Amino acid sequence: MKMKKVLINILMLITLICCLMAVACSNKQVELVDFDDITVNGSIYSDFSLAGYVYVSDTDGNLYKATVSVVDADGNEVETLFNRFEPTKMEEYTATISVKVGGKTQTRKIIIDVKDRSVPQITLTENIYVGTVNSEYILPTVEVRKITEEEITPEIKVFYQNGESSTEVELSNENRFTPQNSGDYLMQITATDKYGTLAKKTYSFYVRPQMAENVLEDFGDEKSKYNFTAYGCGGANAGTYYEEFGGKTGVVYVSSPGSQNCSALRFNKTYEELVSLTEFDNLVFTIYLDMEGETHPLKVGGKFEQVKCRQWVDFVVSRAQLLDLVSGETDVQKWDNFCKKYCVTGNGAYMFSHQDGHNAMHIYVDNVKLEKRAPLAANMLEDFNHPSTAENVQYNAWGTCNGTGSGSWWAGTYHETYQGATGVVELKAHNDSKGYQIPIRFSRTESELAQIMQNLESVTYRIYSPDTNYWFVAGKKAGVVIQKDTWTEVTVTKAELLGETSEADYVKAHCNTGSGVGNTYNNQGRLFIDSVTFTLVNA
Amino acid sequence: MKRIFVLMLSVIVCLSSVGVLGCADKEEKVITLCNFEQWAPDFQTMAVYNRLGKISRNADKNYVFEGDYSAKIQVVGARNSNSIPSMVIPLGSEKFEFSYKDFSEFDTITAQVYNNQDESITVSLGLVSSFDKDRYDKIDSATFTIEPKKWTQINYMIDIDYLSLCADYTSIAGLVFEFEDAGVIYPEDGTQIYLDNVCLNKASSKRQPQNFIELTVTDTYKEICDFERTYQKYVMKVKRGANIDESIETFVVNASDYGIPAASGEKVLRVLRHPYRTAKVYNELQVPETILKACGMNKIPQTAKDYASWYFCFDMYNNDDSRSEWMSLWFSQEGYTKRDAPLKLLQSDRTDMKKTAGQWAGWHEGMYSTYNPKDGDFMGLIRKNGWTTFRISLYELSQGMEMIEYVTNPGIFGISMYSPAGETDWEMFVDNFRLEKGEPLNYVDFGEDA
Repeated sequence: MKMKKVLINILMLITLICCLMAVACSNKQVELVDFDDITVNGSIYSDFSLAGYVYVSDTDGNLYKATVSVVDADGNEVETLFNRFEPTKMEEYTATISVKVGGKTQTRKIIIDVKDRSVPQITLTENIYVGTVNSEYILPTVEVRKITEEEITPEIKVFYQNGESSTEVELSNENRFTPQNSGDYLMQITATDKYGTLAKKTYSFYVRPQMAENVLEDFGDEKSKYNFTAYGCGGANAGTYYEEFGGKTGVVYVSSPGSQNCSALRFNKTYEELVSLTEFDNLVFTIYLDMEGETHPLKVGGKFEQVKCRQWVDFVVSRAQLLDLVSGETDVQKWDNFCKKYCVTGNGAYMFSHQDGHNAMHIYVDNVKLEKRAPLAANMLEDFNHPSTAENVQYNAWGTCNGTGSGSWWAGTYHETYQGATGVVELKAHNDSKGYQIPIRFSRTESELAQIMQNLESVTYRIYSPDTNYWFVAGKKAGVVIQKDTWTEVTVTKAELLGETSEADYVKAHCNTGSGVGNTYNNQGRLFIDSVTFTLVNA
Repeated sequence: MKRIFVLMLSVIVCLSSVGVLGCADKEEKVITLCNFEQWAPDFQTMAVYNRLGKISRNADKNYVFEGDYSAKIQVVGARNSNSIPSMVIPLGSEKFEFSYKDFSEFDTITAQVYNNQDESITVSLGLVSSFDKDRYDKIDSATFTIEPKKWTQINYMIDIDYLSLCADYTSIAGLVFEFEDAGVIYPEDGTQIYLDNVCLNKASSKRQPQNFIELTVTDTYKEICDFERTYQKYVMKVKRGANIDESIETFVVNASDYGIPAASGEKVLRVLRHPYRTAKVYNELQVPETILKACGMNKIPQTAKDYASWYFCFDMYNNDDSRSEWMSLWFSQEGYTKRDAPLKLLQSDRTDMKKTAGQWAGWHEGMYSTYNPKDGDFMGLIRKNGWTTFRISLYELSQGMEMIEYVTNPGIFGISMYSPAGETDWEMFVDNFRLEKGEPLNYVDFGEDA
C-alpha cells in the first residue's frame, strides 16, 4: 500500500514535470524583439518592400508571421501586393504590423518617410574624346536627373594624372580648358541633392601630344591606335597595336590570320566627317604592307589598288573619292560584300580592307594627313608631282575602265621618282592573253576639262619605257614606238585624240577624259609618265 | 494496480515524447547556410562586388553570436560610382555538395547582424537569380535598420508568389547582402559589421505559388504583359552581362512622365542602358516562361491557318535621336541554354534577307532587319524617337524541327541588347507584349484548312 502511494507520488511528479516542459515549449510568455515603432526612409515611385517586417522573432529566435497594412498620410488604405507598395506622394505612410502571439495581438508601426531619395543620375550627353595638347578641350555636357523635378547643378573638376600625383586643372565657366600636358586626365562629377544624397562619377580621358598642321594622325602616341578600329570579318582576328616598325616611331598595325577571311581597318571618323574637315584635295595614308610578294591588292575607301609590299608608300584617297562615298555613288556595301557587316554598320569610314584566302595581312600605318595640292602650271594637265596622281592613271583590261578584267592580269600605278624625273607614275602591266588599254584620267574638274577641250590643240605626254620599246597609241594617232631607256615626248593633236578609233571610243566612253595611252603588248612591261601638257589653239 | 501503473507510465512517456519531439522538430526546421565556423564553404564560396571592402573570419567572442567565429565585414564603397557594395552567398555548390535553391521549401531567411558603428545603419538582404564574378541579377530585397552595438536578427520573408512571377523559385542562385557605401578608401576606415548564423527556415509544408496573373483575352487579342496591372511591374526579367552601372536597368513608368505616348494604356517599361567601360556587355530582357504560358499561346488551334493569322507582338521606342538600335530576339524552350535554337528554324529556307523580310509581313513597319543564319540571331532595328511594332508570326515560329513546341510549350522570349559604347546612357521603352490576330500570311499554303 505504501509502495502504491510512493508510486502515485512519483507519477504525479513526473506528470507535473512533463506539463511544465510542455508549457515551456509551447505556452511560454513570448517577448518579441525589435518590435518597436520606427521611422524609416522611403523613396517616391520606388517600391517599398515590407518583406523585412512580415516575420517577427521573439527572444528565443522563434518566428511569427505578421499581417501588414499600409495607409497614406490621410489614412487612406494603400494597395499592397507581395508585401510591397509604390509610394506616389512625398509624405509619411504608415505600415501596421500585427502579430498574434500567446492569444493576444501585438502591433508595431513602421513610419515610412517618403521623399525623393533617388540617387541623382549623372549622365553625359556627349561622349568624351581624346584631346590634343594646346587645343581647347570642351568637356561633355553633364546632365543630372532625379525622379522629381529637383534641379541640381553638378560640380565638375578635372585632374591631370601624372603618375602618383594628381593636379587639378582650372576650368573656364563653360567647362573648357586648354591642356598643356599630354597624358591621362580625370573628369570628376559630383551632384548632391537637397537631402544630401551624393552621386559621383568619374570619367577618364586622354590628351595626346600636338600634331603637325593638317595631320589627322601621326601615330606618335600610344593612344593613337584608338583612332582606328580593326575588324576581322567572318571570325578573323584583327587588332591594332602601338609599336615601332621599319624606322618609324609609333605606328598602328593591323593583322589578320590567313584564312578565307578578310580584315579591315576603319578610321573612327565617318566619310561625312572626313570630307567636312577642311579644304583638302587628298587624304594621304603612309602605309607599309608587310606581305610577301611584290604587290598585293588593298581596298581603300571605294578604291581597289595594288600596293607595293614591304616599303613605305603613300596611299592617297582623293576628296572626290570620299565625296563619291558620301553621296552613295560608291556603294560600299556592294563594293565589298565580305566586310559590310563589320565595316559599314557602325560609325566610321571604312579605310582598308583586305581579302586573302591564304596569307596573313599586316598593315602598318604611320601617318594620315590632309593635303592640298600645289596648283598645276597653266598648261599642265598633270605633272605627277603629287602622290595622289597615281590614281589619275587608271589601268584595266581592255574594254572596261572601272570593273575587273578577265584573264590572268595585274597592273599597278605607283608614284615614284625615276630616271631624273621628279614625280612620275609607273604603270606596270602583265598580261598573258591580251593587250591593255591604260587610260589617263586627270584630276581636273569636268568643267575645266571641257574648257580646255574646247580650245585644245594638242596634248603632249612625256614617257619612259625601261624594259622594251613601247607601242604607244592615243586616239586616232598612229602607233608610235617609244624607244626604251629614253624620255620621249609624244604629241597628239585634238583631232587625233578624238578620232574614231576603238581606243578613243573606249576612252571617251569609260574614262571621260579624251586621252589615253595603251600598252598593246602581251607581255609584262613598265611605263613611266612624267607629265601631260597641252597647248591651246591661239595660245 | 499493475495495469494502472503501466497505463500511467505509458501516458507519461507519451506526453514527454511529444514535448521533447516538439522542440526537436523545431530545430530541424532551420538550415544553417553559413555560421562562419568553417572557412569552406562559408567564406570560400562568397562573391563580393563594387568595392565591398574586406571580409575576414572573426574570432573575437565579443562579436560572435554563436559558436567560435563570425564574419567581419569592413565596407569600403564604390568610391567613383554609385554602385552598391555587396556580397553574394550561393545557395548551392557542386563542389561542396549542397543545394538549398528550391524556395518552395522555405518561408524565411534569418541572419544575425551586429553593427559596430555608433549610429544605426541599413543593410539589405535579397535574392539573386544568377551571378558570376562580375555581376548578379537581383530579384528581390528588403532593407533592415540595424541599431548600433547590438546583434539584430533580420527576418526576410520569402514571397513565393512574387518569386514565381519573375524567377524560377525552385532554382534561386543565392542571397545578396547590400551595404551602404562608406565612401572611404581603406577597410580600417570602413563600416564595421559582423554577420553570423545565416539560416533558411523551412516552411511547414512544400509551398505552391498563388496565381496572380490576370489577362485580357478576346478573339483577336491575348494580353501577355502590358505593364498596366500592378503585378506586371514585377514580370520582366533582366539578365545582365555586367554590373548594373555598365548594363541595363528597368522601371515601369508612366509614359507621359517621359514626354512620350504609351504604345497602349499609360504605363511602359523604361529601359536605361548604361555604357560599358572596357569590354562589350551583352544584356537580355526576358519575358519569363510563366507569363508566356499564361497568355494562352498554347491554346491556339494547331492549324496552319490559325498559326498564320496569329502574331507575337510588342512595341519598342528608341528615345535617342543619334543612335539606331540593333538587337536580337529569341525564344527559348528551356531557359537560355538553348538560346539559339528557336531561330534556327528559319535557316533552312530563309537565307535571303529580302525574302525573309517580306515573308515576315511587314512586321518591322518599314524598318529593315537582318537575319544572320550563321549566328542564329534575328536582328531588329528600332526606330529613332518613335514606337516600332515587332510582329513575329506563330506560323514562322512553329515551322520545322519540332519548333511547334515554341508555341505549344513556350519558354523564355528574350530581347538582347548590348550596352552602348561611349559615356552616355541610352533610353528605350518597351510596351504591350501580346498575341494579335491579323491578316494571315499570304504565302502560307493552308491545305485542308483553307
